Amino acid sequence: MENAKVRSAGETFAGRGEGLPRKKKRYKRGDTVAAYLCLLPSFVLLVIFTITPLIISFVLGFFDVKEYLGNSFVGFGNYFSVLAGLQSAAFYRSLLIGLEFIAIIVPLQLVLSFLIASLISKINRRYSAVIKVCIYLPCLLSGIVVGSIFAYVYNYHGGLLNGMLNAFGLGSVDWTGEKGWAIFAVAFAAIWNGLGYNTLIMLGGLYDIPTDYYEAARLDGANWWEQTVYITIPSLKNIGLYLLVSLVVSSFQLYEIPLVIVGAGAEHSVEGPIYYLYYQFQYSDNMGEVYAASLLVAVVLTLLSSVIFRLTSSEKSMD
Amino acid sequence: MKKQIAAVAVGAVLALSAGLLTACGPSGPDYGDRTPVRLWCQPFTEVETQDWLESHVREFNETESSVGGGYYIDLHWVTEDTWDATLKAAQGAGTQPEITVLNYAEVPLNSLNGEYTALDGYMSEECFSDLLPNMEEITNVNGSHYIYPWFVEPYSILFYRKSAFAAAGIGGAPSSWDELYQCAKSLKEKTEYDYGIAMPNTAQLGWVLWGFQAQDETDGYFLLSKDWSSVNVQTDFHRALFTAYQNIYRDGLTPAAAFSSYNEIYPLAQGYVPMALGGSWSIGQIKNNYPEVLDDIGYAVCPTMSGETAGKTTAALGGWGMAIDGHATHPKECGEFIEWLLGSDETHLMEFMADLGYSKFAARNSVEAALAGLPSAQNDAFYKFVSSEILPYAKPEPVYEWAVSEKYADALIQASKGENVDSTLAQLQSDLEKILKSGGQGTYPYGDAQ
Repeated sequence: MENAKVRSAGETFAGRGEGLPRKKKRYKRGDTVAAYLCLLPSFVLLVIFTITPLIISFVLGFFDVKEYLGNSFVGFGNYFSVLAGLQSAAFYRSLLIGLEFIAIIVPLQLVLSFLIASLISKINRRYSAVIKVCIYLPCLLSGIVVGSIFAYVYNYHGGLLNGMLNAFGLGSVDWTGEKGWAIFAVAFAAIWNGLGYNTLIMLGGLYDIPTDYYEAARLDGANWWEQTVYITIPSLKNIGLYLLVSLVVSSFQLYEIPLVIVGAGAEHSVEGPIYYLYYQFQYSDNMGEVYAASLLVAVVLTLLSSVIFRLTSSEKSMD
Repeated sequence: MKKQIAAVAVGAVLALSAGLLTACGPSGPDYGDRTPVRLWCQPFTEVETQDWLESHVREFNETESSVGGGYYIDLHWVTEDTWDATLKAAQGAGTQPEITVLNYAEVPLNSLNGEYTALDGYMSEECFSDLLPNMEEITNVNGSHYIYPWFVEPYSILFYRKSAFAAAGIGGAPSSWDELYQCAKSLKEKTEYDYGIAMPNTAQLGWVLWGFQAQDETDGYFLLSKDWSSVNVQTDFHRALFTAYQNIYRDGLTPAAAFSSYNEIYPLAQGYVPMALGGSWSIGQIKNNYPEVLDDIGYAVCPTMSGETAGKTTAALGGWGMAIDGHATHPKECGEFIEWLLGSDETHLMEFMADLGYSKFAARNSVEAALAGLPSAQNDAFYKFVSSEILPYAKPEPVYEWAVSEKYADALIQASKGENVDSTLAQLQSDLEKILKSGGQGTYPYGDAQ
């Protein structure tokens, strides 16, 4: 009798597609619909604010765009102007400055956030909570506010930094006006602004590493350095990759902080790609050139990200 | 009871939110269903300008032409920092102002791009025939007027503290760039001031230097030849200017980073420096904000390369006016407002000049004539000084593209930081030639070459 019941259920399953399997299928479809509904708002926003402007920029990049005279087709003229014409020097300079920001900010951010996260993970949880709050606070400030704060710090006349130098009998330095200093001044402010966020992400990764690994390593006689090199860093690979990509992109796109701290001074020495686009947007007579340049910047960013993914592997270190 | 408390709490939150939202919304008189005509203006350093414009817009909105015409002027202030980006975005979205307050140098090239509507069809002929002769060059592009002047203001003018000059034993204001250097040196060495002079050195340098460039008597148009086909910067004039700047910075006679923007005279008024260059607006700021130091402020024409100043151009002539947008849907109404405010009743502008301490100057014959009969203007020493020694010779600002002026400013900054003057000028020459060739600006773009 039991076998008959089982056989019957099996027949139902195989023959008519009813019963449990059908319920399962219906459940899956409902799940999928819910997932799509959850994704819909993000997708709509992505279409409105990213995909549509990208398509419009791509199309208008082929036109001489004059707001009051209408558009005229110029083929690759705008791209030529940006890559090899009048705009090329400023465009390449901005890309180079973006790369300089990456070279200064990314390694420092990664190393500092790792060290601070390691420190926090080792200390008493009550004190670590205080440190976490303190270190995260700058992240709550917008780039404009951070720029304003550091504009005061770097101010030539009575700024905090020069005040300290003067207290030691040293002369004032034009931190934001001298080409050599300006880029470091901006990079330092950006690091201060982003350190808390990166540290907390890194800390999350550290907490996720099973303590068994360290116990086993200690039993094998591994010291702190060996544990860090052979356990901690490999286990943080995915988080490190995420931070690396996001830091590269954000450093390359640095805009509000240099705008507020330095402005167009210091011979455009902190004018990265987005600042360059903003500047061209304001003053260019031909918006088509700006659209072309913005697409080229997007291409450079995509290439940078691709290179990072290529050079690093994103497999998980553990299940 | 709990429900009541909850209801009161919700009511309080709603009331507070409504209050906050009301506070965030536009304020001012309610003009009912009249059509708004947008007017955009940048806030000036001198708040009196804002006060004057706001009160006169309110006054116009109560006039018969505004009420009867079913429209009102909707004034918006857009900060200088965000002006270009906000305007571009608004133009793209079709929400740009119908009337824009802008400086004269922007007019010619922008009007060729169709950005403004010619005013001639919307304002009476008398408005234009009343303009001072030198305003034709500024307002007229290819036979049509695209901007109606509000005021003019020459720059640079030399301002100094009389007490500092006396302490340093300096008898009179310097007239040449060499004397300016010596004077700044004496002030630094013989007085308690840390610096001798505040030189303009900010992102605004691109236009500020037009004041110096206007002094160049070489046959040409500022940095270019008359027909804009070649560049004239490897000359004795520019070499001398770059060298003067370099020497002043090298010897620490001016701070490495400027105390303020060129628009502001407070470093002189508050005693940070004993001497500064500024525009005519500077005296208005001192009169209105620092009356206690007014008696200690001296002024003179800007020094020139040769030291000759009598009857010579020592300043550029800047200023602001109003233009109608090229896509304005109410050009007739715009014209009516501009004519009412700036083109007809002289008392409007006379009040303005008085409010600003006679630091801004008329662009119309009738206003100038009216001021000539006004004792407060005629007894104002600064007004008489600028009217007689600077304005008649001041040269309108150059109207070629901004990139030219910006490159010059970058080069001057490099020289002031110790770069070799000759090689900097040679590089500048090359950069400007590239702009002329690539930017399509190689020929004078409108009318006959000057």
